[in-house]
Amino acid sequence: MSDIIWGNGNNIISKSSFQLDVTHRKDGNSEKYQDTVKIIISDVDLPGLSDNKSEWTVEDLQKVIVNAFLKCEINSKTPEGELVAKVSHSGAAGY
Amino acid sequence: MWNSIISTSNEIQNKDIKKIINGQNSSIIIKNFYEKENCDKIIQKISNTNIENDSKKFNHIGPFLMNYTTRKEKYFQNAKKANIIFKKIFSNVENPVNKIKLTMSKSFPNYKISETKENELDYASCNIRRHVKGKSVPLHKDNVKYEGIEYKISKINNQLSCILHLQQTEEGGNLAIYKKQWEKKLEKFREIEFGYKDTLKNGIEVDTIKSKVGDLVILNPNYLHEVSKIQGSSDRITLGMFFGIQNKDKKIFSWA
Repeated sequence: MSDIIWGNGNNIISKSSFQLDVTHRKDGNSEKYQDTVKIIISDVDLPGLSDNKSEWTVEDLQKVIVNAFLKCEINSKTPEGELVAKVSHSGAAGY
Repeated sequence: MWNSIISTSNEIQNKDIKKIINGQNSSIIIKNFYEKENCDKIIQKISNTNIENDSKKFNHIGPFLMNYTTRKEKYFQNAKKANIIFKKIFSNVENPVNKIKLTMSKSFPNYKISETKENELDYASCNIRRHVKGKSVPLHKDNVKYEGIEYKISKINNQLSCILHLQQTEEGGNLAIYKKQWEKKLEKFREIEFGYKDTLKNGIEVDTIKSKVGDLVILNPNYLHEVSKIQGSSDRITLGMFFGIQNKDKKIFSWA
């Protein structure tokens, strides 16, 4: 099971990376995570953003990610400490 | 004063709809909107029908669009199945969905109520939810313009939520509507699975509604709302649907 963190999207850094303000961490994560981390998007499941990375623009990411509450499933970590993660919209509804 | 507008005449005035859209009032309650006898028949029918629904036990019938924000194909498949079930459930009673639609359309005399389709596929006409003892619904909003952006129906000016009470619980299960509109900056108060932190309620005016069987409650679901814990032995069963209002084309449509 991969580590999972949740939080709100903050700065968009590039067409495929952003800063996340971490608000929740899964119990049992194998690592500790700072309050602010850099996420490199490996996959997405976000309304308003296509699956095809090559179509993304910084503006798209700004609309969909900034302030949104996001779930990040961590796949790996770069030597610089950036987190490569699947990013999805978390818990919209269901009651 | 943040309170409900009560109607006993099965009618809604357009000015009252505007009041809940603008946040002057919390909701409109149409008392005895749907006959108790018909509510009982629906409950009976549900109990006697072998329903294949989205949940293993009957906790709800019909998909919630917000659970399918990026899975449109699956939503429409489940909506199709649910609409067949609803047809059976409503076969020997006055169709409550049609009755709600008719009432809404009368309150928008210059608007056309249109069938909602996307690529020829129907949205779910409603959903029926059962909340059992101990269950509550956390503080949340419903806003298709935000989470349902991939669906056509997100291109609306306003959204309204209609809840018809089919069965009431003896204690608890009250709907509380807070005088606080959701805005994107509130996403930092999110809980992981669903809803928002209770701290958002601090100091905010609230209207608490204890509905009776047959009552229809209409609210602007972008105002934060919750359902208190069901404490009675009978389940709280409701039929819910949303309406979208599109001012440019003067259209109203519904989905669930």
